[in-house]
Amino acid sequence: MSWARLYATYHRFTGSWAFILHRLSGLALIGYLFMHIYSLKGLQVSMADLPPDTPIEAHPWTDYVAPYASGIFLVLEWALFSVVLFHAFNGIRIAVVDLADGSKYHKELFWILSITGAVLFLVMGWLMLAHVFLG
Amino acid sequence: MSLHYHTSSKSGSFSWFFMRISGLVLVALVIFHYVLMHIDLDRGHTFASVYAALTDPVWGPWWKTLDLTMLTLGLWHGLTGVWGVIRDYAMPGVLRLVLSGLLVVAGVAFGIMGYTTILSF
Repeated sequence: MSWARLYATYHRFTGSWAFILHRLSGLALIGYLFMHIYSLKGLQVSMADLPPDTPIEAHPWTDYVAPYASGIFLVLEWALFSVVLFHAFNGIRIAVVDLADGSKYHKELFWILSITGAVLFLVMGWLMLAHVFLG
Repeated sequence: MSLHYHTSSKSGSFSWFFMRISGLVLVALVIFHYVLMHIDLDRGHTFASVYAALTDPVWGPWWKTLDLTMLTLGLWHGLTGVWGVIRDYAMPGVLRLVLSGLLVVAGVAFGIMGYTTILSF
């Protein structure tokens, strides 16, 4: 299906877009979770496995993870936060629709959560990045 | 009447209900995760800081409980979600079985990997 046809099919309803984005963000998040679990595997190496008198600061996992806690990866982490935020907020909307009679006000809820989410995205960007890039 | 449907193990109502509840619990847990891990970068980004947190005599068991809960719910919720995507598409039964089997294998493999990491402290 071409993007144009997809757009024509879905663009009229906020809920349809929310459904597609929820699905794509969910698939992205489970993919990330697999990478995340794999990248923490190096923590299984205990200090006893290393040569004697190795200081704890010299544990190999610290060097392995350092690049992922700096530079472009911090910005990517903020991008990941936007995916988490969308999936979480739309998930709340789904739960409210299904469990709390939300079908009567789900469109208003969508926009309220969207605005709240946009604000949280900016606030979190400031909290995650300001002290790194602005000193 | 609704009880009749709710008690049917084949209706998928449990996974439907579970997705809502686990999703809401994960939202709460992920807030903790972000506040703890992504504002102060010294936390959780060196072996020494992870070691200090997870072996703390008072807080260590609580961090482990939090991590194990997040790992279990995250994998279960995520793989149930992928299963839902698979069920949305028409495909030969064999392919569906293989894909569903892959989900179970991936869940068990990455679950064991994660549990081993957390419990190695």
